[in-house]
Amino acid sequence: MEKSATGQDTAPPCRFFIQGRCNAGRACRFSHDPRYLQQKDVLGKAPCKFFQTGGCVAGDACPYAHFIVKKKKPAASKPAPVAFIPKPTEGYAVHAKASLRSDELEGCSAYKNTLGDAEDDLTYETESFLIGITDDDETNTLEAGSSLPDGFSYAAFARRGLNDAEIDASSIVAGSQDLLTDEDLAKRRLLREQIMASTSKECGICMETVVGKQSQFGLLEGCDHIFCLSCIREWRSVNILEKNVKRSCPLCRCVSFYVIPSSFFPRNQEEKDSVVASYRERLQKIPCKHFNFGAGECPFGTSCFYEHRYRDGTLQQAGMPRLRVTEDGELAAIGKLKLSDVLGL
Amino acid sequence: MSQRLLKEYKEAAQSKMKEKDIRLTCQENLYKWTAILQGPSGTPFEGGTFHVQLDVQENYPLQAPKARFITRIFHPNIHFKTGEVCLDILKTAWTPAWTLQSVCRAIVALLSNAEADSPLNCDAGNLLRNNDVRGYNSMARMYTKLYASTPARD
Repeated sequence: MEKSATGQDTAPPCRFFIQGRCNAGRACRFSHDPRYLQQKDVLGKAPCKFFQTGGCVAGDACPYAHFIVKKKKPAASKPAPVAFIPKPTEGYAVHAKASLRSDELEGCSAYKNTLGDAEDDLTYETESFLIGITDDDETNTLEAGSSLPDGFSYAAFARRGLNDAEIDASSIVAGSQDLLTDEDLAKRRLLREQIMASTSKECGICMETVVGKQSQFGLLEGCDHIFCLSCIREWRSVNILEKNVKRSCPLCRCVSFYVIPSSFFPRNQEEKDSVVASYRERLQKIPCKHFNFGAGECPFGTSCFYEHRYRDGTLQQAGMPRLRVTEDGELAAIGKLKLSDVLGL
Repeated sequence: MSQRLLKEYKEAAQSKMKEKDIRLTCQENLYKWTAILQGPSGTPFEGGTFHVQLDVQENYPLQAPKARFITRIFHPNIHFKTGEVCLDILKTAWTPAWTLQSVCRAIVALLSNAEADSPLNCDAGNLLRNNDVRGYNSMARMYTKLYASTPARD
């Protein structure tokens, strides 16, 4: 734990300590200050951090309690372990300054710091700024203190595996409103709409709502039926069935060769196309494990979704297979001939 | 996946009124279900009450439930002694979109549309394959009277 010269705790709060499960104990380099501890509801459920900003899409299915955390600093008279000095600290002052500095954030429900006259009376809604901090402990508290637009938590979706093509993850963490362009805001608003429109969609396999299950949608190439990514992947990996049976949609038996993960269910073909395109674009940046920079051989050939780049930086070219004339005067391919070579895919 | 079974249990309880010919029940164990099917009218099984045991596999719905007739039945695609059902959706054509309720519906449909070319009960299959519909009907009706005529308790 970092200490300033005055012995005060300046480290950012430990996100595991806040959840009551930090294994590092006193060796943890993040703050275990008790003032960061969460309140719990009557059932002992921890508060939902997304509810704090008004943006939990899980609704009743959320495993966390939906109430707004109002946290008072523990009274200074209370005895506490030496390591956890419940006194206003340097870091604390920074939060206060941050709230004063960012005037533009006023009125935003996510960040309502009210500064009392004395430090001990300082009341604030902890969770809102903790969201920012816990997502990236390296971020300094000033940045983390700034809030997200519309009181909506995008960190939720970022954690659920939202890809950076849909939302630039770095802009979530930085989160500062002045850094966001109108385009970013519009993108976020659209994404929120799309997710909200998908909340009632039920998976055809587990029959639960996909958003409520905190899962992603698994879109099929050939049809528009709704499945969780995990469910449809599990079904497609069942070994006892024939390939064509498990590759087909469980509902309409339309064969699909790949599943596209998505955080929302596209409302029309246009949206679906853009999801597919951004997914493929993302994969194309990842080197193919089979191809292994030219050292291995990819069974998917040139139709592989992943990048086929040689060590020297050149991309594998799709084209005619290299042929040679054998001793008998017949043509034969050099190396293995793949179906994609013949079909020209 | 027991979430899904629980959901199916609730739905089965609700649809009890709607579908008179299929009664899906489950006691204590969600992995052991009993379906009480009424023989479809216009078939030799009309008036019969058939008990079918549905054993749900652990990885349901990725794997089909095992269906077995407890009541004896004379039908080309149902084994006369073991009660095993020969139905593609219970084997190769299974998909997780089927529910226990829809499996029962498929079994009822099988009762009215026998597939004589892949028989588990060769006697029944041979009768149908040789176009002895009258013989098949009378045999099936006799066994329905003999084994399936006790109406289901309510």
